[in-house]
Amino acid sequence: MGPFNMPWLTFSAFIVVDISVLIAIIWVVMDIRKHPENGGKNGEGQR
Amino acid sequence: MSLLAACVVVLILYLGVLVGIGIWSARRTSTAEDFILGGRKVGPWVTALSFIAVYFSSVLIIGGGGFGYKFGMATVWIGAINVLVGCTLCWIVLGRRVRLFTERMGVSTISGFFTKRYNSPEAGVFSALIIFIFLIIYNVSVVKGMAHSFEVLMGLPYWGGVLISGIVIIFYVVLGGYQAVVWTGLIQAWVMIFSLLLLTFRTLNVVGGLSEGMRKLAEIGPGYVNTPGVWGWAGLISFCLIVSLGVWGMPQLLIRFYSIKDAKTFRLGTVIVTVGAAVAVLPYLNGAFARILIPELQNADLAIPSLSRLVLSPWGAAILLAGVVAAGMSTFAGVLIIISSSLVRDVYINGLKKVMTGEQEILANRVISGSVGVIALLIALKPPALILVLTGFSWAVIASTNLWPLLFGLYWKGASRAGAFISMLAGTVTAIVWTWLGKPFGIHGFITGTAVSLIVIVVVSLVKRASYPEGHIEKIYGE
Repeated sequence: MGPFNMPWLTFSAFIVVDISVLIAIIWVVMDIRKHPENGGKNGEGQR
Repeated sequence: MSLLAACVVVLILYLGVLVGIGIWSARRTSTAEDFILGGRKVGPWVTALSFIAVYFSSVLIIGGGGFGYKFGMATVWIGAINVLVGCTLCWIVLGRRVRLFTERMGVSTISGFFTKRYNSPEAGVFSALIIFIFLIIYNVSVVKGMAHSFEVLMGLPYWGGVLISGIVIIFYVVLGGYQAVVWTGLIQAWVMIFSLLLLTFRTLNVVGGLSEGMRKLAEIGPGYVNTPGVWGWAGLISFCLIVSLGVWGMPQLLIRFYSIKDAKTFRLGTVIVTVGAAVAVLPYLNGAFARILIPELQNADLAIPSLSRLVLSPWGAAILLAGVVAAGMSTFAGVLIIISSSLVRDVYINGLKKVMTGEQEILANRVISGSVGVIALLIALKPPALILVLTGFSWAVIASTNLWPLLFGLYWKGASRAGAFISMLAGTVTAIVWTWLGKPFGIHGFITGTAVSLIVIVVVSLVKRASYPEGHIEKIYGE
């Protein structure tokens, strides 16, 4: 049994939500490193 | 104060704000591009939150709560996969590419994307027609969700709920177009998030906390706390895929990527959409706990409205009603814009090669979005079947048509005109026929439709190689 009287498999759904936030943040950091000057390939999409 | 009076006050305030935004947006809408895409200058907060508002319609709150009530806590997985696949990965994989490609091609609708990317007017027109037909079905289910909430919380007749919500939406969409849709979406998302948090907080209080609630639920039946529980793996996984991966082919959500201000804003937008979408697990959780407090409900779709009547004060229930109505309105409105722009720009102007001035195009969009809204309302007055069944069906067909041609169009230069068009036809026909046959082996039409569409686009593109005019693909890929 996992936290809050939840079976681990059910509780894992909440962990997936946390992982999603982590993925979003990691992607942003990687993207800033990849394109430090702007957000788009070759600077396109900038207005 | 009575519940009815609180609902009336909250709704009048809320609907008044929406109408105000419609009038304000109308003044900022001077070109067809403004009406369809908000002039491609929408920021990350507005884009991300309106994405959430359109994605998580009243179908999520009402229907999701119904699923939680029927199948228990395993359904929180649907919300979790919505966040991971339907929001985070969708933004990362599709977002920026869709923005860049559509800008390079100068298109403003998903059907326009198919026309230009594959040099295939037939694919564009076919996609537009599928969007037109099946998004109306989807909108009917959205209105149904809103009307049910009016029914339970305010004691209004069903038709009254349909008319109140429908008329306000049509008013602000016809006036303000896309700008009205995204700005009202921003407010609607906040109302929705706040109301779901409020309901969850109160429900957990009443059942004695999360641990105690889980214990009580397990006493009713272990299947209500286990995963996959009483639903079973097949049902749970296929539904997670439909309402998460299916999003990748839904035009009313993809248009958020077209209209975002610039490619850089995707960074903040991706984080906002992920954090905001986390509330998607709450309707399922509340629906599951509703079984503890209201064990004998005849109609599972009434779980959330009934729960809110039980655990919230009149003001709280009124805010929840506003949240449900907000969720439904934003989706309904987003869909109206997509349908009208698909018909006017993709079918009439690009498909039939008719010429229109900017003013005529805005007028045509206004007339069509208004007419389609009225049609959806009329159908919703005598609605068929369960909310989520209808939604699942329309999503299955639209996703089977659009998903793979879009993804391959963005990532595989070898995806050919014949491959895309035949894939669309095969996916659509499979999804419809499979559903009509009664979902053999318990497999949803979305699974078979998208599987067939995937195989067809790969095989046909390999057999009948892509042959585009010189420089066509290079220009689209920005090389």
